[in-house]
Amino acid sequence: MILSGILFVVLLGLIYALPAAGKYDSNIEFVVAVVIIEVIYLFSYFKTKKKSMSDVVDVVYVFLILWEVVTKLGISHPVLVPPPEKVFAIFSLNKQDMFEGFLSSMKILFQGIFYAMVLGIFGGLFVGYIPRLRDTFLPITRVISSIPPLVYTPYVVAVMPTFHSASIFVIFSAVFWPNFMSMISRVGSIDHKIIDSAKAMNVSLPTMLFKIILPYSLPDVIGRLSVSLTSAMICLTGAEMLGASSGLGYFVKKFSDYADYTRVIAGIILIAIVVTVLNLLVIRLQKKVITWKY
Amino acid sequence: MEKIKLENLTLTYVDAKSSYTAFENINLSINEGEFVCVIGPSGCGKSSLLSILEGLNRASSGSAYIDGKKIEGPGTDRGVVFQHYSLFPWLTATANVVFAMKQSKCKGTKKELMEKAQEYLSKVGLAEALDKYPSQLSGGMQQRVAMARVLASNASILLMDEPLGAIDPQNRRELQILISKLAKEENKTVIFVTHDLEEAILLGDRIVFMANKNIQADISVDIPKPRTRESLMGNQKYIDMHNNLMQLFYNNIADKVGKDEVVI
Repeated sequence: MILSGILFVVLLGLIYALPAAGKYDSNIEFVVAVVIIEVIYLFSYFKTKKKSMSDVVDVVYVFLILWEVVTKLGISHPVLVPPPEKVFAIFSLNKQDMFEGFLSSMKILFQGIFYAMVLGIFGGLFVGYIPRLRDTFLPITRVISSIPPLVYTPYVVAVMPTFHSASIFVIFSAVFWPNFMSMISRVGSIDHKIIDSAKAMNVSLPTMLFKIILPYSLPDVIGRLSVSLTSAMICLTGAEMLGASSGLGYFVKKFSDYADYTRVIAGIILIAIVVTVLNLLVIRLQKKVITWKY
Repeated sequence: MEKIKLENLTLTYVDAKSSYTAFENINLSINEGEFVCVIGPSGCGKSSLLSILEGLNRASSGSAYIDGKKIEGPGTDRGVVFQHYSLFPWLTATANVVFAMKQSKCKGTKKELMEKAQEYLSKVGLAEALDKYPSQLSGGMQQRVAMARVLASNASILLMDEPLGAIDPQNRRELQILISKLAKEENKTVIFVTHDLEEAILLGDRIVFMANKNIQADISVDIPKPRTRESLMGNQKYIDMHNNLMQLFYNNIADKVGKDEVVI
């Protein structure tokens, strides 16, 4: 708590007081970013009272201080390691591009994940409950889901008519197969006491599937959502680097082609923020939806 | 009036490599409102017998009848309490009971069903835990919910498979009295599987002793109800019956392992 306070002040001091080798257009964006980090840190520290919070933010500040000092003193390569002021300034310079990239990525991401989850869950529920279907699809699913989606991404991008459909397809398969597979095996391994208990009440097949097995598996499904989200994001940005004309991955790829690493790093930071926020939302959702334990 | 009838009932589990006969040629008749305790050493087929009545297993030969109708599968005329608390963990105590009531086609609005469920939960001593999830309840409390669940549904037959097997002694006693009382009040026909002699004599109108894949003895418990543990203690009938049953257990185990090795 004290250490992170000192580091925070040192960092701000360095931003304003340490003379730079070249001239920066603006350093206010970087200052804003640092202040946001501090606010989030203080807020969550007082909410959770966790000591580890301070350690995390300490590491972040030390890294930022090093970055600041190294670039200002001109120790590092000016093109390969741009100063943080310039990197964070991109967030206001290119905000239009970034926002559009963000929107375009999210649209594809959510469509892909939505179709994949819905089909994976309901398909897995049905296939998993019928032994013959389960025995048929489980080996096939095992093989397919073990193929890293990035491997077939270039092929899918080439085959599908538009980039939009190609990237939805890639995300779909990245999310669908693992979800489908784990749903099948989940249904197959469901606690037999629960099933017996339901059977003894003479429940119908739809009731068994949707009122017993589905709620029983729901924590698992939502638990997998954050994994799915991460792998979908990997595939999406990967795909966008291949053939897109918009999106977060495209943003990074375009500027790295021009060796504009300031924007490349800004793009990477943006992707990190987006993924983190999405994951936090999923955890929120998890807590809201699952109020019970096994 | 005859409620349950078993005729030459045989159950053989068959899989690809082997087959195993759980019990053979069982004949049994149970009247409406009777409380029948089934006891016997483990592996004697008592739980398998129950699974036929539950409708979860099919008889290999012979038939089981309820009210003269052959059992073809699970039905809402029977309520089952398993040894392991089999509540649905995603539903609260009340919702668990309501779910069972809906399955057994209890009529009424949602509010009426909930009120009835809560009434039964109060009867089993859970008025304070209506909105708790099973994970928040102790084993004894979960088993109380399971009992409220079968009582609130329209089942006229209660099938209980060692329902108190995993419960601590204090709760066990309370629940024994509760089961006995509620079964009588609601005029349920009960088949209660246990391996505890005391429990069987305390609860049963009749005790069916199973061993060697068949019924070895069918004894009426000629001690007036309501019985309590304390009143049984000095009762000569109780002592005789206990000794008799003990002897049956002893003989049965001794047949298998040789008399010298049996220590009870």
